[in-house]
Amino acid sequence: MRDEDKLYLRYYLSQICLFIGLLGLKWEGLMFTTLGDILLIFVALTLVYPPLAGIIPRKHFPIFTTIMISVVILDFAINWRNLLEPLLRMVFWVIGYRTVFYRTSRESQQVILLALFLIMFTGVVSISISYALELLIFTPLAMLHLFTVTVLKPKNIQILSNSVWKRFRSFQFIKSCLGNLDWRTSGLFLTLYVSLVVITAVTFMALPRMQVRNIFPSLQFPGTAKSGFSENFELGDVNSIILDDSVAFRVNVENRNALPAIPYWRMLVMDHYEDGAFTHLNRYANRINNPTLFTAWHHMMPISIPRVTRENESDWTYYMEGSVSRYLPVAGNFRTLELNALHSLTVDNVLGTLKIRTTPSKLLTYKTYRSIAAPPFNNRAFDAVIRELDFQHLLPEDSSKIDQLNYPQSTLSLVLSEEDLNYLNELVGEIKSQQTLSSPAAFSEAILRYLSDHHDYSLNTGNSSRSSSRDPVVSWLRSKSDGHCEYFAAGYLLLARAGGLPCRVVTGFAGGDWSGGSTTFTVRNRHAHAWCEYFHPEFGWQAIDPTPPDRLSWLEEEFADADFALQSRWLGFFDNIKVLYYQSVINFDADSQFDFFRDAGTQSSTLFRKLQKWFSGGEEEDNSTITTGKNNQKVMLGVIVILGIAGLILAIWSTMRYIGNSTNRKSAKTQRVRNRARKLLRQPRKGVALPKNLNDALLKISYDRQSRWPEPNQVFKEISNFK
Amino acid sequence: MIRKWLKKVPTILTKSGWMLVLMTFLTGTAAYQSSNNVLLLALSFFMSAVIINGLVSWQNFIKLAWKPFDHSKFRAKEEGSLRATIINNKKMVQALGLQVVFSVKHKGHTEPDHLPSDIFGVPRLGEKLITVEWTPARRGLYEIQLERIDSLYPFGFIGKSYFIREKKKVVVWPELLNQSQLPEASRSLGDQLHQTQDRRFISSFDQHDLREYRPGDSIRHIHWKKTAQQRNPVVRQPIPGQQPGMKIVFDFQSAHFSNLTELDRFCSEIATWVNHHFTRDRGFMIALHNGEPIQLLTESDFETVMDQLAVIETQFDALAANWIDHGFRVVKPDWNLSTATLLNPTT
Repeated sequence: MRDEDKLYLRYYLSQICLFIGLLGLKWEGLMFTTLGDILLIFVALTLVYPPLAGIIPRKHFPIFTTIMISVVILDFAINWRNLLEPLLRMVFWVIGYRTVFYRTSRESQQVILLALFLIMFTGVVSISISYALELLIFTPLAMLHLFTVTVLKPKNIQILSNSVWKRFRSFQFIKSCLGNLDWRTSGLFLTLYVSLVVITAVTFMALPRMQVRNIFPSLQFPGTAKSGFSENFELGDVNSIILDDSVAFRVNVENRNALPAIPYWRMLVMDHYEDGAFTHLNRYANRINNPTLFTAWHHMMPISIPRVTRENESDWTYYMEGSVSRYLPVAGNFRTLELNALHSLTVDNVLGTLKIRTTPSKLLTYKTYRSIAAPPFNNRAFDAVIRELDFQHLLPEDSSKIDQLNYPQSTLSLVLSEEDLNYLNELVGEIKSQQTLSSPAAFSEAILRYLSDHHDYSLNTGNSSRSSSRDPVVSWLRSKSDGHCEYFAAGYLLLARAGGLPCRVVTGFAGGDWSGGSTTFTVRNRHAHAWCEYFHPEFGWQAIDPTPPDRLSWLEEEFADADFALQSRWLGFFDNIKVLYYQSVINFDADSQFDFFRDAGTQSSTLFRKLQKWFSGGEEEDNSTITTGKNNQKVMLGVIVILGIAGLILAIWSTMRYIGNSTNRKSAKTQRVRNRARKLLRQPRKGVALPKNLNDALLKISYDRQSRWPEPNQVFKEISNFK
Repeated sequence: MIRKWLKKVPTILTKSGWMLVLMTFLTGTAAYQSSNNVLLLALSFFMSAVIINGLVSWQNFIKLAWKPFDHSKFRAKEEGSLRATIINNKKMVQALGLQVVFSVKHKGHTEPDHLPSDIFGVPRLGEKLITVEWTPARRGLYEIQLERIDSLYPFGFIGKSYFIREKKKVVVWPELLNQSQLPEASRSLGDQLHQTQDRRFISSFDQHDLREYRPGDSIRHIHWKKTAQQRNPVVRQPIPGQQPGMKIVFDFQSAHFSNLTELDRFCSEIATWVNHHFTRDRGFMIALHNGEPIQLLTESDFETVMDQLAVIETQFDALAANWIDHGFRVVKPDWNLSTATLLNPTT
């Protein structure tokens, strides 16, 4: 290989590594600054046209260095509270510094190191599978780079000379690389790569898992929650999430039967509505100690959880993607919640929500033990309960005093204009007049019937234009037009509250898909949904979905084009890989390690026992089904197979040995004689020279053909006599 | 045994290796502090890189052998070469990223200079001749050692060396100067040589003594007939003063030299003068101080003179007086011919 090509190859390998590092950062949205974007573009350009790398003459090094150090120090001084971003910017500066000048071998290695830093940074901050992929691509490139440094060293070339780079011709370079490709070296390199990956995997499995002490702050950038999954959102915000088909979270359940056909993943409760905007009012929640929907607590440290589960209860592991919400989706009740990382968790027993301090920007993993899914919503479940329902008298005349009410009476509040309020009251009167309503459930059902009779489901609601004087939901109720889940939920909320039934809106996800044949349930953003809960005096809060059941069929039609189906198939495939990555890498804790080695031990002992039984003729097996003759045949077959394999190995070994001997080495014995002769040649003799004939004899034995040797034993004997 | 092996094949971490160890340590600390599996994966990656590097590096040296090295003739300020042959006896894989290191040490120096070769590979069941160029700084007796085979293969984290330590003593001839650099007196002495007989027509040892063979004597000087008669090797030795052509003795008395550079310069001047006239086939005989006179007839004679010039030191004793009696002209470092400075006439 030409010296220039060795130089180009080294440059290209380091530059590709850098490109991968920057691309991964960009992919995960962790650039934080346009400097990174500029760098990514510049590195891409230098890959196409390498002479760009020498855009600045090396003599300007000191100026560039001074500017860089000043900017970095200033950056750290300004952003000293959050050191992570200035650190990343500093790395960008250093990369820029190394990219705009030609690089020596050592500088190239620094670039590789910087690329590795970027990849690790991406991995730690995003916990994405892209980290593993990047590492898999980066590894052979970095290996090859180091390989070229140690094996292919340019001899007579001025590395930093511009003229070398101006001579670069991509075609010639590729031709030279391909021309020097040796299958033996390639095979060796491939073996090294595979070995590295295997040893990495084994080491990763075998490294003891223990937590010394959490003194390093978690590398966490605050993410941005989806608009529909924050404490305040307006009509249409949840609907906008539906158009996003990316994965929101995955749940690994031990038993596929544990989930209903359409599970409702409850995340956020909105108990206040005003002028088309929903709000989550925390202040109510602290006033009353209502019966809890579930009991939950979290653990900072992994602890041993009793694995005794009742029927229908199982342990579920959630993998929530970054930047979805800080509220954790759950589909029912559970006994214990365990977060995988250090987070501040707030459990709201009144609203039944779980939230962490900030919206995570990276994957959040948590596990619910002894989980059981909420039963499917049955809006007629409480028909048998006959009870007078009237909360209206509890409402204060002055709406500003609603805050002073206790929960759940406070959820009766309606902040509407008088005209809208009158219209709602008329509507409620109409609903009530149509039938005898003897229970909250009956009233709830009547509202549902009214909504489904007058409105159809559609993502494209015809009531998008908002009038300044009227409430948008009341306008929607008047218009009888189509609407999406938020309109139905808000419409139900207004009618229920107007009728004296405490009600609140819940947002989260409804539905999801099983990933292939696995036990992983994937919920995408398009499953985002809003529904309601009304308060039953005897049974507490009851969930109800006012959206017509044709929502799902409507969504299926909407997303049923061929491309999407194909995409879904691929997405499903990648989802499975992702879940596998999360299970085997990200969540591989001490318990998993223990289980892994225990299972491996059990499997191997079982296999050994099976083999033992098989070769002993299956004595312990059912003799009624296996005859002695068959057993003997099995034994014979086993012996023949083993002998065959042994023979094959022997044949391969002999062939290899024959090939090896066909050159100039007859046997190990010959080599031993040669070694002895060489040793005697090197042996110092305190100034006494060996006679020339013996010296020549030794030289012949050491290096000449065996056929020309003198008798070695005789020579060795003479030398020993000479001593 | 392990200690012996370690002495023979030491393994050291390179700068990159130390960097990797440091990164491994830091990543490991961070990984265990935070129980972060991403960092644990990185830690495993670094550890396996170290393991793979160690294993492959070890494998690279298995079944490597070498032949005794040889070399060209060396002259000060002129490039010569050292040659070593490395043999790879591995059946399956080549040995890569190897580097042969020679060390050269002047007799008067304590620290050797190291001469690394280019990086090379040896194919499986093959051998490779490695040449290392060396330009000696000054004349003299050097100890050259095929010191070791180094390798940073495969990733450069570990530097591994296999010590061979095969030594040879090598004579480096004095530097050849340009004719213009020679003193005027030397040129006038050379002019007188033009009148002498052509060395090719001088029968060697027309007048000679016989003596016993001594190791280092040229095979051409053996008197075969006498050897056969005496059943012992006998060589011919010219009788000083009885050979044709000019006869010169060079004075190396220490009083003439204030430092080593002057001595080297004088040696170089003699070497240049001798080389110039020998290649022009002039017949002459020279002696270095009180050494044995040599009639320069053959290449072998020429080499003997050069070898002597390479190692000669300043002499404390004065030049013997009988050189003049034998018709020798005495040449001092300033190349002025003199016969009056013989302080210690000998019989």
